[in-house]
Amino acid sequence: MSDLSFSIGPLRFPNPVVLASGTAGYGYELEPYIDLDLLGGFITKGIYPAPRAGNPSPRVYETPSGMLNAIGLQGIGMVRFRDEVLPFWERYKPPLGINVAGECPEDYARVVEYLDSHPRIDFYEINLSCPNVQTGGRSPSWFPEETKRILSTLRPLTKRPLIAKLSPHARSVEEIAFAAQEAGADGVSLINTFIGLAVDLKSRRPMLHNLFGGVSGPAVKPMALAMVYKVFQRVSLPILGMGGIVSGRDLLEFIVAGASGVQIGTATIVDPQAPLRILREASELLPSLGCDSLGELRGSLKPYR
Amino acid sequence: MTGNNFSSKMETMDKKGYTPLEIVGKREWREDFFSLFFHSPLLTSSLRSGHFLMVRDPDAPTLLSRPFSMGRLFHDEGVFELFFQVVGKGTESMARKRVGDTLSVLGPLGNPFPLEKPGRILLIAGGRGISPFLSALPVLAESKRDYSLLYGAKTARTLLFRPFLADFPVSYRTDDGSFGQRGLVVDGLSQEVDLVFACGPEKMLERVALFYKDLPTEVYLSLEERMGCGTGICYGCARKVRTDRGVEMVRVCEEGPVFEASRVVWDE
Repeated sequence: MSDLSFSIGPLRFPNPVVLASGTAGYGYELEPYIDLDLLGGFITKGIYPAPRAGNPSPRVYETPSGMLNAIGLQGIGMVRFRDEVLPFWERYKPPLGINVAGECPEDYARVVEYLDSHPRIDFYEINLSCPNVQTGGRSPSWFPEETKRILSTLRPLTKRPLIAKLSPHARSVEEIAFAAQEAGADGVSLINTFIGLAVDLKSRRPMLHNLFGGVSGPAVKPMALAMVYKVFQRVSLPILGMGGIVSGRDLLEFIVAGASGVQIGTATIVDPQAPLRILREASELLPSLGCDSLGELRGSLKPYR
Repeated sequence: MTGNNFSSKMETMDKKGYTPLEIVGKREWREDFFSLFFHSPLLTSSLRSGHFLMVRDPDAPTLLSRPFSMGRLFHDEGVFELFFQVVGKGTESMARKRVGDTLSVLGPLGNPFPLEKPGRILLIAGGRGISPFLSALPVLAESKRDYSLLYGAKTARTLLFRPFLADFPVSYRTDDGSFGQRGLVVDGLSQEVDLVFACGPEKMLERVALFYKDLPTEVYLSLEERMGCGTGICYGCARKVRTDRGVEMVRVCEEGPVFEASRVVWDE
């Protein structure tokens, strides 16, 4: 039996399939479709201090080999999250990550301070990169200083791992990852969605009410792989790679490029059972590559010749 | 525990998932309307008027599934109908499917119309909004309810299913007067009913809600919104609804698609 586990700091993930924030609800929505105990990990929808209505609909649109979304971080806020969602997760084992969102460093700090005493939380993913809010996509992880400022604010507030979720739009994603490492992050997740636009030619209006949305799905996979590889070369932090993973092959390609684990997003929206299919495919494929563990495959990309 | 000590059987045990279903029949109507028929005794017996299904063509270049209300239910054969109009790439690829091909289907999803509520019932269908009522009508007839259907379309050519509907109390309206009374369904609403179930274009639903606003009639509407997942995880299909907490963005796929009209907030 091959070893599919990996670790971020002291936290061990039983397998590399982690469900990505915003594409799996709070978790209980998936209970009718999959045994959540088989997942490598789960990351919640972004949690703000206060509830948020999100954007008006339409919020989603299919694009070539992908989709565009502008949910706008609709959420129940940290108080209801603690009271209503965290008790649900006490019935399941996988590492639970809280995606922490905010409009200023104080927002992020309030969420971590409020939730950190809860024993079910395993790690925080700091959303430095949601492209769907009104700013036209500007996000802290475009800038090393802003990335550092938020992470340094949070670092003293918790002993649990902090994972910085990065935007693909920074001038240099590896520079941002390095800044995150310097500020005390335990890992990085990349990539968040690309800013995109879809046009309805008939009405000459955008397909999404919000105008811009985030592009995800197989269309972004080559760019995501390139960024994972560059960040792997630059920093020593574990990487949760994501961007268009829909098969076991895709998953293992991210590991070869340097990811420790991966996140599945759009594939779960397409089919709620896809994450477990991807895991099974990867575990069946791994021995055929001559590997007993994911660790042997990690960062093993060779020069062309 | 290592991650791979499970069988593929464990993945789906007691869990609901997409199922490949064979197309056992196809009917091409006019004006880009199609019906596909699927054999599934399980789905046919569990689907209720107002439920929806997510449908995906694994061979199509499209990625996301599309939501559909089901049409007629043929209980003796274990066959259900999917009635749709070609409006984009997803429905285009479905319309090209033939008998013997398969599509991936997930359902039943959402909350159905509460047909069991007591009282006189008026069903209101606009255009392809007839779909959920094709399964409701036999249920209401069987249980000897006091009910009728008001069915409107642009023209006689798109007023479909008339032979099937001949067995039920239906009044027809067309915009151009080519069949039934001339005019919109919203011009034919009756106050003399206790329950209204409506499905059709947004403008029609809004006018139905407005008509019954100050009357004791309970009104339920089947709403549409562009969907991502259909399973409640992506929050892509949310719209404004009054809840115990005030006005919230609520998912059409999970909390709907059938909503009490008095709770729906209409955009200015």
